[in-house]
Amino acid sequence: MNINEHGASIRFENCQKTFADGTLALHSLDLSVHAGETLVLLGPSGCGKTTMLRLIAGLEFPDKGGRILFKDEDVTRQPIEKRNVGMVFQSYALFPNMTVAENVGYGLKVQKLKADVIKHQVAEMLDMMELGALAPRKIDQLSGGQRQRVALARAIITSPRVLLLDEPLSALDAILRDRLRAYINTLLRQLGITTIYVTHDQEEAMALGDRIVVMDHGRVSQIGTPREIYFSPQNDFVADFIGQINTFEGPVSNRRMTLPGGILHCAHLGDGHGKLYYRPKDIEITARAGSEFGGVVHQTQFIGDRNRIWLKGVNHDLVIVDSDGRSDFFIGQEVGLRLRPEQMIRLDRQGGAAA
Amino acid sequence: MKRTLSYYLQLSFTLLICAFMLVPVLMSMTAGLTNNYFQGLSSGLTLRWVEEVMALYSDTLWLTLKLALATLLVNLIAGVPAAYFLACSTSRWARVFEELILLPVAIPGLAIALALIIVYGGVQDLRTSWLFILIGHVLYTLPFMVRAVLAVLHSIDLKLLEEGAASLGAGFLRRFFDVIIPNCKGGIISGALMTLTLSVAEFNLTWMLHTPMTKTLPVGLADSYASMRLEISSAYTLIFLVLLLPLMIGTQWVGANTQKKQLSPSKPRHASLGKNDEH
Ligand SMILES: Nc1ncnc2c1ncn2[C@@H]1O[C@H](COP(=O)(O)OP(=O)(O)OP(=O)(O)O)[C@@H](O)[C@H]1O
Ligand SMILES: [Mg+2]
Repeated sequence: MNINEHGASIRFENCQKTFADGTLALHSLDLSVHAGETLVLLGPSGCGKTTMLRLIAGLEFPDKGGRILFKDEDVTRQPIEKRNVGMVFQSYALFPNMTVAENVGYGLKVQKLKADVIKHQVAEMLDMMELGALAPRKIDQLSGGQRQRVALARAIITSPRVLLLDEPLSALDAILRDRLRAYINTLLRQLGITTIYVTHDQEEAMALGDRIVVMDHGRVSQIGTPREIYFSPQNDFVADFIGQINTFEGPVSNRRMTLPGGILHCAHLGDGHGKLYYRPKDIEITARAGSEFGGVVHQTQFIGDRNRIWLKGVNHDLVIVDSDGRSDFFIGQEVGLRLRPEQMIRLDRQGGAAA
Repeated sequence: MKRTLSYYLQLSFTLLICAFMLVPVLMSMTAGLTNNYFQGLSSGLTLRWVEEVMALYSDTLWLTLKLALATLLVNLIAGVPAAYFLACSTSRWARVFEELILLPVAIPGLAIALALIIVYGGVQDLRTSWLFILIGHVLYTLPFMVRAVLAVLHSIDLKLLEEGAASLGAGFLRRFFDVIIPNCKGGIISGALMTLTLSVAEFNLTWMLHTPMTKTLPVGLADSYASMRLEISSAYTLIFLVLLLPLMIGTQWVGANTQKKQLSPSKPRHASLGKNDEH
């Protein structure tokens, strides 16, 4: 198989997208994607992920002044069929009039390769995707997971410069999704194609992305590695969107924040009004007696590997704590809380968006 | 299960209606094959009348076939792309046009013919050519073709399929022939059968447009009813039905089949987690 060792790098210059009806779906954006990198676009519904993907694909075109470059080539005005990209659509867009093998081989047929060359490459690809036995089937005789793999096979067989995936796993059930995610992960590392992967599932984003672009209302909120995004979010939106987070907000004096549940130490905050962020699993539950910070159990939920506990009387909102699954709490129980400064999530407001 | 009285009443009523419609047709068909209709079947069966019709009217048969095929060709070349562009367009005018295109169906054939004669009647070469009737037939049948294809195009996600093909490098023509045409095959076939049926059976419009040199089968049929003996007209009708019936049955069959397809869900089969199935 003649898959590129490395795909092309992608550069967005001043790209903005306004739709015909005036919707500003993407605010002006500069962004670089390295060759061979997997970049995940992550954000809530309607934030412009698909729009950005379609701009890269050549299914939409940026407003005047915007430029898109693959390596050093300006592709801004090229339609999709000229860009040599592979795309997996959210609903797969497989051809119902063709068999699995014909679907997978279609890109090669368009390139006018010889029939026996196509046959050979398709067979190899189907084997790699473990679809060999399904080759003669029609698309409507496949399960969701099989369709997903056919769509992936069809997109990568032409060795595209860039692979674009739009929420390819969202239509599948949880078990299948996990399995295919692992499969795609291995495959992308093997192929080394530059990949843009759209999802609104933060777990998927963490698992697959070399870097993650968190988007909000058509703007980039933060770009960074999964670790950077998780441990040092740059703003409330990112902190909140990536996993659960507790926000403690109150008056600070003398490096102490006063809250309904007691006193919190915050060495890094000056006097005035401050905010502290902790993830649920970083908060430790202790005995009420002798602790200067705590609350009352409002609700608990056993999730198997952990107990999720909602506490009242600690903060203005309920505080969420994840504790060991074996621990047991009852509603109304008074508990103390220990928050370690080193586990605090700091909003890294200084670091500008790394491009 | 015990059948009630009302079941038998309904059954006999249905059979009665069928007989009412079919008996005259069967009578006239047998009339074309009997030696002497007034003496009845006892006079013996013969193909004499059929042969005589072929001698007298075979050119109307060939013209009818030629017209039907030419109409079909024009409809395929013009109608399928027209339906595609209508389906793609998001403009309000496209929707208006979709409604307009059905209008000729509501206008009587006679009115279309009259309009054609007023506009083109002066052009002698055209007026006396079979192409004049072809124009009429295309005007009359094209809306059916476009509608049939449009219905299918509206039921599939055309844009998505095209984007899928384009992402694999296919330019417009490739997409059109590889993806669009095969996926609206059902609509094209039913539109084609409808075109053939309508063109073969068309009388009103054709009667207005025809000249002595350009007579189609239905027009010739009317002539023979007026001037020939009953057995010849009947044999002529028989030939007409033999031509028409397969087309009508085909139309019905395709219609029923596409309906069945639309009714059966085409959702992904439930994701099976079998060992050699999923990874
Ligand atoms: N063709 C269009 N015309 C007008 N507005 C559009 C069009 N396509 C998308 N939009 C708007 O642009 C915004 C971004 O849409 P987009 O499809 O990129 O969101 P998304 O992040 O992919 O969301 P989802 O997770 O739901 O798929 C939305 O407000 C949407 O309504
Ligand atoms: Mg989307």
